Amino acid sequence: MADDDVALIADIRNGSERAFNVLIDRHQQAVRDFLRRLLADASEADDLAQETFMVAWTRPGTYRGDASVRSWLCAIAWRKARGAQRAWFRRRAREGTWAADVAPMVSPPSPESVLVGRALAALPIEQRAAVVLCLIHDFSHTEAAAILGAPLGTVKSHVARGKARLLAALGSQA
Amino acid sequence: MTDGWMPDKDAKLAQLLRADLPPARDPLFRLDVLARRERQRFRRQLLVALTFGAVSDLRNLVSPLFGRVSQAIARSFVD
Repeated sequence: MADDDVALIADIRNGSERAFNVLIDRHQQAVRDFLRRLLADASEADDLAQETFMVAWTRPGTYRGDASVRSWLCAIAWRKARGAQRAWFRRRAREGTWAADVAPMVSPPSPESVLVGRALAALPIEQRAAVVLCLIHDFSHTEAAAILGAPLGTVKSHVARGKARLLAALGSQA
Repeated sequence: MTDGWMPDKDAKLAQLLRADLPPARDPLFRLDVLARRERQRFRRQLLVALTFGAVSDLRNLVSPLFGRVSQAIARSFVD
Protein backbone atom coordinates (compact mmCIF):
# COMPACT_ATOMS: atom_id res chain seq x y z
CA MET A 1 0.00 0.00 0.00
CA ALA A 2 2.78 2.46 0.95
CA ASP A 3 4.75 1.90 -2.28
CA ASP A 4 1.50 2.00 -4.17
CA ASP A 5 0.69 5.36 -2.56
CA VAL A 6 4.06 6.78 -3.57
CA ALA A 7 3.37 5.65 -7.14
CA LEU A 8 -0.01 7.41 -6.93
CA ILE A 9 1.69 10.67 -5.95
CA ALA A 10 4.10 10.28 -8.88
CA ASP A 11 1.12 9.79 -11.19
CA ILE A 12 -0.67 12.81 -9.71
CA ARG A 13 2.44 14.89 -10.46
CA ASN A 14 1.93 13.86 -14.07
CA GLY A 15 -1.69 14.97 -13.90
CA SER A 16 -3.34 11.56 -13.57
CA GLU A 17 -7.04 11.92 -12.75
CA ARG A 18 -7.32 8.20 -11.97
CA ALA A 19 -4.53 8.37 -9.40
CA PHE A 20 -6.17 11.36 -7.72
CA ASN A 21 -9.48 9.50 -7.50
CA VAL A 22 -7.80 6.47 -5.97
CA LEU A 23 -5.92 8.66 -3.48
CA ILE A 24 -9.18 10.26 -2.32
CA ASP A 25 -10.98 6.93 -2.03
CA ARG A 26 -8.11 5.38 -0.11
CA HIS A 27 -7.52 8.12 2.46
CA GLN A 28 -10.73 10.11 2.80
CA GLN A 29 -11.92 8.15 5.81
CA ALA A 30 -8.78 8.81 7.87
CA VAL A 31 -8.47 12.48 6.89
CA ARG A 32 -12.15 13.24 7.45
CA ASP A 33 -12.32 11.38 10.75
CA PHE A 34 -9.17 13.14 12.00
CA LEU A 35 -10.61 16.56 11.13
CA ARG A 36 -14.09 15.76 12.44
CA ARG A 37 -12.67 14.91 15.83
CA LEU A 38 -10.64 18.11 15.92
CA LEU A 39 -13.30 20.59 14.82
CA ALA A 40 -16.73 21.38 16.20
CA ASP A 41 -18.47 21.41 12.84
CA ALA A 42 -18.71 18.33 10.59
CA SER A 43 -19.30 20.35 7.44
CA GLU A 44 -16.29 22.55 8.22
CA ALA A 45 -14.24 19.40 8.84
CA ASP A 46 -15.29 17.96 5.46
CA ASP A 47 -14.57 21.30 3.83
CA LEU A 48 -11.02 21.21 5.21
CA ALA A 49 -10.69 17.58 4.16
CA GLN A 50 -11.55 18.66 0.60
CA GLU A 51 -8.94 21.43 0.84
CA THR A 52 -6.42 18.86 2.06
CA PHE A 53 -6.95 16.78 -1.08
CA MET A 54 -6.78 19.94 -3.20
CA VAL A 55 -3.27 20.49 -1.82
CA ALA A 56 -2.43 16.91 -2.81
CA TRP A 57 -3.59 17.73 -6.35
CA THR A 58 -2.04 21.18 -6.72
CA ARG A 59 1.19 20.61 -4.78
CA PRO A 60 2.10 16.90 -4.90
CA GLY A 61 5.74 18.00 -4.95
CA THR A 62 5.50 18.84 -1.24
CA TYR A 63 5.44 15.09 -0.54
CA ARG A 64 9.09 14.35 0.17
CA GLY A 65 8.77 10.59 0.55
CA ASP A 66 10.16 10.49 4.10
CA ALA A 67 6.79 9.42 5.59
CA SER A 68 3.69 7.61 4.41
CA VAL A 69 1.30 9.43 2.11
CA ARG A 70 -1.40 9.15 4.77
CA SER A 71 0.93 10.87 7.27
CA TRP A 72 1.57 13.63 4.75
CA LEU A 73 -2.17 14.14 4.20
CA CYS A 74 -2.85 14.15 7.95
CA ALA A 75 -0.05 16.70 8.47
CA ILE A 76 -1.71 18.99 5.88
CA ALA A 77 -5.07 18.42 7.59
CA TRP A 78 -3.54 19.20 11.00
CA ARG A 79 -2.17 22.56 9.78
CA LYS A 80 -5.55 23.41 8.30
CA ALA A 81 -7.34 22.42 11.51
CA ARG A 82 -5.02 24.61 13.60
CA GLY A 83 -5.65 27.52 11.25
CA ALA A 84 -9.42 26.96 11.45
CA GLN A 85 -9.25 26.71 15.22
CA ARG A 86 -7.35 30.01 15.47
CA ALA A 87 -9.93 31.65 13.16
CA TRP A 88 -12.71 30.23 15.32
CA PHE A 89 -11.17 31.70 18.49
CA ARG A 90 -10.74 35.09 16.77
CA ARG A 91 -14.35 35.00 15.56
CA ARG A 92 -15.62 34.05 19.00
CA ALA A 93 -13.59 36.83 20.62
CA ARG A 94 -14.86 39.37 18.07
CA GLU A 95 -18.50 38.33 18.33
CA GLY A 96 -18.33 37.83 22.09
CA THR A 97 -20.40 34.68 21.82
CA TRP A 98 -19.56 31.28 23.17
CA ALA A 99 -20.54 28.47 20.89
CA ALA A 100 -21.14 24.97 22.17
CA ASP A 101 -17.95 23.16 23.04
CA VAL A 102 -16.22 20.89 20.58
CA ALA A 103 -18.20 17.70 20.17
CA PRO A 104 -18.12 14.74 17.83
CA MET A 105 -20.26 15.24 14.75
CA VAL A 106 -21.89 11.92 14.09
CA SER A 107 -24.47 10.97 16.68
CA PRO A 108 -22.94 8.10 18.63
CA PRO A 109 -24.90 4.89 18.88
CA SER A 110 -24.58 4.08 22.60
CA PRO A 111 -24.34 5.86 25.98
CA GLU A 112 -20.77 4.58 26.31
CA SER A 113 -19.90 6.14 22.96
CA VAL A 114 -21.41 9.40 24.18
CA LEU A 115 -19.21 9.31 27.27
CA VAL A 116 -16.05 8.47 25.34
CA GLY A 117 -16.93 11.01 22.66
CA ARG A 118 -17.42 13.71 25.29
CA ALA A 119 -14.20 12.78 27.05
CA LEU A 120 -12.35 12.89 23.72
CA ALA A 121 -13.90 16.24 22.81
CA ALA A 122 -12.87 17.64 26.20
CA LEU A 123 -9.18 16.88 25.61
CA PRO A 124 -6.94 19.78 24.51
CA ILE A 125 -6.61 19.77 20.73
CA GLU A 126 -2.98 18.56 20.65
CA GLN A 127 -3.78 15.70 23.01
CA ARG A 128 -6.93 14.86 21.04
CA ALA A 129 -5.01 14.84 17.78
CA ALA A 130 -2.38 12.49 19.21
CA VAL A 131 -5.05 10.15 20.61
CA VAL A 132 -7.00 10.10 17.34
CA LEU A 133 -3.91 9.39 15.26
CA CYS A 134 -2.48 6.67 17.53
CA LEU A 135 -5.55 4.98 19.00
CA ILE A 136 -7.98 5.23 16.10
CA HIS A 137 -5.84 5.38 12.99
CA ASP A 138 -2.95 3.21 14.19
CA PHE A 139 -0.15 5.65 13.52
CA SER A 140 2.97 5.01 15.56
CA HIS A 141 4.04 7.62 18.11
CA THR A 142 6.91 8.59 15.80
CA GLU A 143 4.57 9.08 12.85
CA ALA A 144 2.14 11.10 14.97
CA ALA A 145 5.02 13.28 16.20
CA ALA A 146 6.01 13.99 12.59
CA ILE A 147 2.42 14.78 11.60
CA LEU A 148 1.85 17.12 14.53
CA GLY A 149 5.33 18.65 14.38
CA ALA A 150 5.74 17.84 18.08
CA PRO A 151 8.52 16.10 20.04
CA LEU A 152 8.14 12.33 20.37
CA GLY A 153 8.05 12.49 24.19
CA THR A 154 5.25 15.04 24.10
CA VAL A 155 3.17 12.86 21.79
CA LYS A 156 3.74 9.77 23.98
CA SER A 157 2.63 11.76 26.99
CA HIS A 158 -0.42 13.13 25.15
CA VAL A 159 -1.49 9.63 24.13
CA ALA A 160 -0.95 8.17 27.61
CA ARG A 161 -2.82 10.99 29.37
CA GLY A 162 -5.57 11.10 26.78
CA LYS A 163 -6.09 7.37 26.95
CA ALA A 164 -6.19 7.47 30.76
CA ARG A 165 -8.91 10.12 30.63
CA LEU A 166 -10.93 8.15 28.09
CA LEU A 167 -10.61 4.97 30.17
CA ALA A 168 -11.61 6.92 33.26
CA ALA A 169 -14.71 8.14 31.45
CA LEU A 170 -15.46 4.59 30.41
CA GLY A 171 -14.79 3.36 33.97
CA SER A 172 -17.17 5.88 35.47
CA GLN A 173 -19.89 4.29 33.37
CA ALA A 174 -19.13 0.75 34.57
CA MET B 1 -0.56 0.44 21.85
CA THR B 2 -2.06 -1.44 24.81
CA ASP B 3 -0.65 -1.14 28.32
CA GLY B 4 -1.41 -4.73 29.13
CA TRP B 5 -3.18 -4.00 32.40
CA MET B 6 -6.71 -3.77 31.08
CA PRO B 7 -6.84 -5.40 27.67
CA ASP B 8 -10.64 -5.68 27.77
CA LYS B 9 -11.05 -1.98 28.45
CA ASP B 10 -8.45 -1.09 25.84
CA ALA B 11 -10.25 -3.19 23.26
CA LYS B 12 -13.58 -1.70 24.24
CA LEU B 13 -12.15 1.81 24.06
CA ALA B 14 -10.74 1.18 20.59
CA GLN B 15 -14.07 -0.28 19.49
CA LEU B 16 -16.02 2.72 20.82
CA LEU B 17 -13.63 5.21 19.25
CA ARG B 18 -13.92 3.51 15.87
CA ALA B 19 -17.70 3.21 16.05
CA ASP B 20 -18.51 6.46 14.28
CA LEU B 21 -15.88 6.58 11.55
CA PRO B 22 -16.96 8.10 8.24
CA PRO B 23 -17.70 5.47 5.56
CA ALA B 24 -14.67 3.68 4.13
CA ARG B 25 -15.92 4.48 0.63
CA ASP B 26 -17.75 7.70 -0.08
CA PRO B 27 -18.15 8.55 -3.77
CA LEU B 28 -20.04 11.72 -2.83
CA PHE B 29 -17.05 13.08 -0.97
CA ARG B 30 -14.83 12.32 -3.97
CA LEU B 31 -17.29 14.12 -6.25
CA ASP B 32 -17.25 17.11 -3.89
CA VAL B 33 -13.45 17.29 -4.12
CA LEU B 34 -13.53 17.00 -7.93
CA ALA B 35 -16.26 19.65 -8.18
CA ARG B 36 -14.21 21.94 -5.96
CA ARG B 37 -11.17 21.40 -8.19
CA GLU B 38 -13.21 22.24 -11.30
CA ARG B 39 -14.58 25.40 -9.66
CA GLN B 40 -11.04 26.45 -8.77
CA ARG B 41 -9.87 25.71 -12.32
CA PHE B 42 -12.80 27.72 -13.76
CA ARG B 43 -12.10 30.68 -11.46
CA ARG B 44 -8.45 30.66 -12.51
CA GLN B 45 -9.32 30.56 -16.21
CA LEU B 46 -11.90 33.29 -15.74
CA LEU B 47 -9.35 35.46 -13.95
CA VAL B 48 -6.83 34.97 -16.77
CA ALA B 49 -9.48 35.77 -19.41
CA LEU B 50 -10.63 38.87 -17.54
CA THR B 51 -7.05 40.06 -17.10
CA PHE B 52 -6.32 39.62 -20.82
CA GLY B 53 -9.58 41.37 -21.68
CA ALA B 54 -8.81 44.28 -19.37
CA VAL B 55 -5.28 44.63 -20.77
CA SER B 56 -6.62 44.49 -24.31
CA ASP B 57 -9.31 47.13 -23.56
CA LEU B 58 -6.74 49.36 -21.94
CA ARG B 59 -4.45 49.03 -24.96
CA ASN B 60 -7.33 49.88 -27.33
CA LEU B 61 -8.16 52.87 -25.19
CA VAL B 62 -4.63 54.16 -24.86
CA SER B 63 -3.15 53.46 -28.32
CA PRO B 64 -5.28 56.05 -30.26
CA LEU B 65 -4.34 58.57 -27.59
CA PHE B 66 -0.66 57.75 -28.07
CA GLY B 67 -1.14 58.02 -31.83
CA ARG B 68 -2.63 61.48 -31.53
CA VAL B 69 0.06 62.65 -29.13
CA SER B 70 2.86 61.37 -31.34
CA GLN B 71 1.23 62.99 -34.41
CA ALA B 72 1.00 66.29 -32.54
CA ILE B 73 4.66 66.06 -31.53
CA ALA B 74 5.69 65.22 -35.11
CA ARG B 75 3.61 68.13 -36.47
CA SER B 76 5.23 70.53 -33.97
CA PHE B 77 8.66 69.51 -35.29
CA VAL B 78 7.59 70.00 -38.90
CA ASP B 79 6.07 73.40 -38.15
